[in-house]
Amino acid sequence: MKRWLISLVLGLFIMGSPAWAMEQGTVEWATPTEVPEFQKATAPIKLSFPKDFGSHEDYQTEWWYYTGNLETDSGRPFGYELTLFRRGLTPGLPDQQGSAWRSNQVYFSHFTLSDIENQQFYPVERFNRGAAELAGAQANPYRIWLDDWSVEEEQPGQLQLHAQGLDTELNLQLSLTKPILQGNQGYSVKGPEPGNASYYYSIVQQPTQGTVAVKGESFDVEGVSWTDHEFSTSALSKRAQGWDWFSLELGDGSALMLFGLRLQDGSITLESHGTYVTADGKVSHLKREDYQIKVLDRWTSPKSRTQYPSKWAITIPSLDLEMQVAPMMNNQELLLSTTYWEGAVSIAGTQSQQPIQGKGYVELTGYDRNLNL
Amino acid sequence: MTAVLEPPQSSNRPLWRMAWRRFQQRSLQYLLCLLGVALGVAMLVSIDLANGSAQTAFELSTDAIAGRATHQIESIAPAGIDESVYLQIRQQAGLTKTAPIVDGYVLAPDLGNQPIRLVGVDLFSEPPFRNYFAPENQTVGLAGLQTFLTEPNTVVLSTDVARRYQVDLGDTLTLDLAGRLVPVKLVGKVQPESTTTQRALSSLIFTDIATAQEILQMDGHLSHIDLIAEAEGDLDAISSLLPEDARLETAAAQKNAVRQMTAAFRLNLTALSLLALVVGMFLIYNTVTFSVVQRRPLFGVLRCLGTTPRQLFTLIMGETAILGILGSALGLGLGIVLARSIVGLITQTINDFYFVVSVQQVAIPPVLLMKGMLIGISSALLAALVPAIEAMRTSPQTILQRSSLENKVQKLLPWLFLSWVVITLIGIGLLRLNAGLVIAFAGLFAIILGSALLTPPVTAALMKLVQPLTQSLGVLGRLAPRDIVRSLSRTSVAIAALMVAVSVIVGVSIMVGSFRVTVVQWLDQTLQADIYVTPPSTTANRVLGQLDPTVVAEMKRWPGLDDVVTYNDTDATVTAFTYGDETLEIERSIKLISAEGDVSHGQRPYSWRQDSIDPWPALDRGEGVIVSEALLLKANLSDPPTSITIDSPQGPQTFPVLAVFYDYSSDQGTVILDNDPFIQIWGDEGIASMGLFTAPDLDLDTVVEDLRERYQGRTDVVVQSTRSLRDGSLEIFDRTFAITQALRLLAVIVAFIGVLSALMSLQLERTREIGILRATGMTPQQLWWMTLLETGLMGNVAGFLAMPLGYVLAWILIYVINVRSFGWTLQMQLNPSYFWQAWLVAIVAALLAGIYPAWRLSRVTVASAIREE
Repeated sequence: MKRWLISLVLGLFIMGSPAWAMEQGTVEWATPTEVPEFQKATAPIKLSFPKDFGSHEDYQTEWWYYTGNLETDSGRPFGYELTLFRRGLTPGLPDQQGSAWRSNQVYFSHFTLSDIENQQFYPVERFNRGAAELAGAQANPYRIWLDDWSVEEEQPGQLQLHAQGLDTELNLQLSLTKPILQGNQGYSVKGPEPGNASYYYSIVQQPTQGTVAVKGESFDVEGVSWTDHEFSTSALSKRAQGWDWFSLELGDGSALMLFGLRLQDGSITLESHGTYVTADGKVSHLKREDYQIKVLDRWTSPKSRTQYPSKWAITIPSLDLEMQVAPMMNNQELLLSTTYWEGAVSIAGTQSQQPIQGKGYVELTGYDRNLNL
Repeated sequence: MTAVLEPPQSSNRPLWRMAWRRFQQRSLQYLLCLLGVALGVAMLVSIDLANGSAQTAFELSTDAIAGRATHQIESIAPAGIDESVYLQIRQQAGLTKTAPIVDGYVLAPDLGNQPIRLVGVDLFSEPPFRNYFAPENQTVGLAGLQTFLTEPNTVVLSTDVARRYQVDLGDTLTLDLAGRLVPVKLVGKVQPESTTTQRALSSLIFTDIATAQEILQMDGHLSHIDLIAEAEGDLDAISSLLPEDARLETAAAQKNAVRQMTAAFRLNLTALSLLALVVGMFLIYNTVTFSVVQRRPLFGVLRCLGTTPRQLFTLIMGETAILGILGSALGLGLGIVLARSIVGLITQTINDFYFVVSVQQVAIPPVLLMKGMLIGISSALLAALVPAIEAMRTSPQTILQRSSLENKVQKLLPWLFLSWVVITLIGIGLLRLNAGLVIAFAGLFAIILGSALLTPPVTAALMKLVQPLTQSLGVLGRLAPRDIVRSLSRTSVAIAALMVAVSVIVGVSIMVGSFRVTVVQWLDQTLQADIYVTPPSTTANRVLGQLDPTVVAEMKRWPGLDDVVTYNDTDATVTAFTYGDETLEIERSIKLISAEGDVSHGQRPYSWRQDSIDPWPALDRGEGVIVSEALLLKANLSDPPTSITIDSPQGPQTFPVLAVFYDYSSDQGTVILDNDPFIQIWGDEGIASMGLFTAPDLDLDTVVEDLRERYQGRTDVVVQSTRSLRDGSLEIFDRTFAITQALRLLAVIVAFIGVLSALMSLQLERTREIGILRATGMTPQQLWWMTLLETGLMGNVAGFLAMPLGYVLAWILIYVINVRSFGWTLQMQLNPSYFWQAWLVAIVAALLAGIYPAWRLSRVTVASAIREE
């Protein structure tokens, strides 16, 4: 369910990317011609798999998130994020007559590796067009990719993740689990306005193994991964300021997704919601009033001077769940074409008086004071 | 110097005041000298600037396209690089600092009808390379990108260009691709902040890479791939992925190749402009000598009054320095103005022969101006050195004797003759050295300089010879030649300046004339087909683009044609010449022509043929290639190699050399290969041009009419008769030499001013003498006669000397400079008119220069002329 981040990132793609800012200058573009409107998420639709693993070009924005917490045999922790964003410039796909490069699909991708032990964070970003095989997303066989970064279904139920940065490399095998439909059968409402919603499913607790490499040193790792796939044409409400999003994988095999859409006055919208999945796959939906998130601490990024929450107390009375969530390290801020925090977190708490723990990922957007909606 | 040796240093101010007064009195003379320096500097500077601008424009647009790339992957195949190579580099090698480019030249009738480079970029891979689409004006943002990426035929122009041609966002422009008209929509205007980048973008049109592939019909292919190699391993990774038909080159090597291509052309122009400066130096020398000679009595008095030799030297050099500075400054201004008018000529030639460049403005780098200034001032000082030293060294009593200088010159005559011999021998030695163009030009200049030194002895000798002849004209006839000899130190300089200028006219005329005759003969022999069918050219000399295959097929079946020959070409690189067992590694860009049939029907002249037989049948069987002589001569090879190796999409290919042919259409070298091996190896079946032979019983005009009617309304097919093709080629030829003609004219103007100022000073100096002559009964009319007789005689001497020197210059230009610069052998054609015209120019210039002094002198009243007595 991520996030208005996507539109923000794309809006900034041309405007703010450091690479583009090498020399001052301006491009004055012609007023764009009228294009047909994108389809909007206004009601539940039937999501079916593997068909809906792929891309949905009738909707403007789409993303695939892979996040996970990994460990070496000796217990050295790593976190990773590999995300592919798609943004359609016009609805549908262009008719492929002329050049294979003709495209109305912009793809971009973020790959981060968190080396917790050394407190090092390695974010990388890439862009490409969804044409000429350079980037894309297909359902069957499942493959999403941008250049040499890819998530591919090598054999049924088995995914291969690959990404490489200047100092880092990721090669993981994921075992697919059953997709969990978020919201109302995958229809996830984000605001009171019609169409301010998305289609959203997650794949949680995916056993993961493989290697990560940092500065030439390779590590065999194991862990669990979380996948989010969401598509929409939603315009966020003007009042929205940002998101706090939690994907938590608990030690007992259960998983919890929660998000809070923050308004300018700091309050959380009524539409914010969550999902709890038990180890045996039973799904219960959480409404805004079903959970409380309390910020316990804050951290100011030395690079962007942005202040982020850095510790939370989460209470879900209906599940009899109380826990504290804290970043495994604070330094997990992405200073790419947009600035946000997304990082590995650890969880400790109690459920029905039993201690529980786990790991997960948290995404924090809209804390950068320079960014106004 | 210390105070012990010299009297207390007096102020120089009285001397300067004196100089200023003299300047006021003789301002015209000084002004002419100023103009001489100015013109010399102006020519040098204008050529420098125009050359530089063309070069800079090309490099800027190359830089604008190459950006920060360290390397480029270039295609050897005519079609370009398969786009899958790019995908492999990104996905298999994982190298993302790579950017694909699809570019080509188009004509933009709405943008001044200039050839302009259409550059297809992939915005997503651009950021590490180029930065024109820098931060957005924050309003339209992504929406603008939407049109650019998703709509076909949308382009971005620089704001400057859009403003200049008054096109605005949303407007439709037409691009002309070898006659195929493509409408495009302007969807963006890019305004980089730095002026350098602005200039670079002025000859570019940006499109999305998809649009470029569609417009340039390059679907599936890329022109090249830019890359930034960050580690050694990157290049290895790429090399292992590269197919045979692509090669990896450093960005620097590419730029250098372009520089090399035009080096000879630019050097030739620079040499021509230096020539003007040399004439200008004569002029300065002349003026300074005069001002010294005329002031000898004054200097003698000054010396007697205690002025030190150093002060005199300072005075003369100071005057000259001021003249030099003023003249050079004026020259810079003139040069900039001149550059603006000749940059078009130079650009045209570069476009015709080398590469497409569009120069929108003359760049004025301060370094070039400094260089012009420095050369102007130092050549002025150099020219003044001899007279200044002479004035310094002469003792007060001899300085007062007017005749001392002339005596010296008379004594110098044998030495001057000897110097001529020595310098000429040095010049010949340099020319024979075969060590590059700069040395050859040094030799050429040595010959000219030597001849200038020969002027005084020859003038003296000639005057002795003509005296019996002129004596018949009476007293005046006796006086005139003697006067010339008597003031030889001055007259001979004027004669030398005029002679050099006129000899340049003769030399260049012979060279251009011979060139033209050679080209005409060559065209007549080579172009034997009756009708030529081509796409319209993007530049005049080159066919860019290919004919519609259906047109080709139809032509081949056209009734009434005896024979149809077809041509195609591509750029290629020769990598080796082989002589028997010996292989000479080399890297030279050439034009590779694929031929089906001989357009000359066996008439083509060859400079060498294997076994002295017509090479075409063997060529037709694919047994080898024929190569142009420029390919060999520019590589400094006199013997044809046994075989040459050419880089091809299937790796290096070696072909036996069957013959060497003359080709004046390119100085880069041309290789002709039969179309069967070409299609097989280079994989390009397109046809760029066709030659049609009509059946003898058919009326040629009717066939042409029929063809034109058939293709009426088609802008992509041009049907031409042999005559119009030939005329078109000659038009290009003449255009190429327009710059030469312009420079030649300028050299004459400089020389004319030189002669004018020299003669004027010479005559004016004689005011007293004339006064005496007038007092003893000479009529003003006789005075006119005498003045004109003298200047006429000097003109004659200059013209007389200029003829052999002109011939020698032509010989050097044709057999040394041209061969080394361009690899073209020309047959020297002598036409009497070159000589008598030059003679006429010399005499007319001299006579014209005599008019003003004659007029002035005839109006001088006798009393005032001799009053000083």
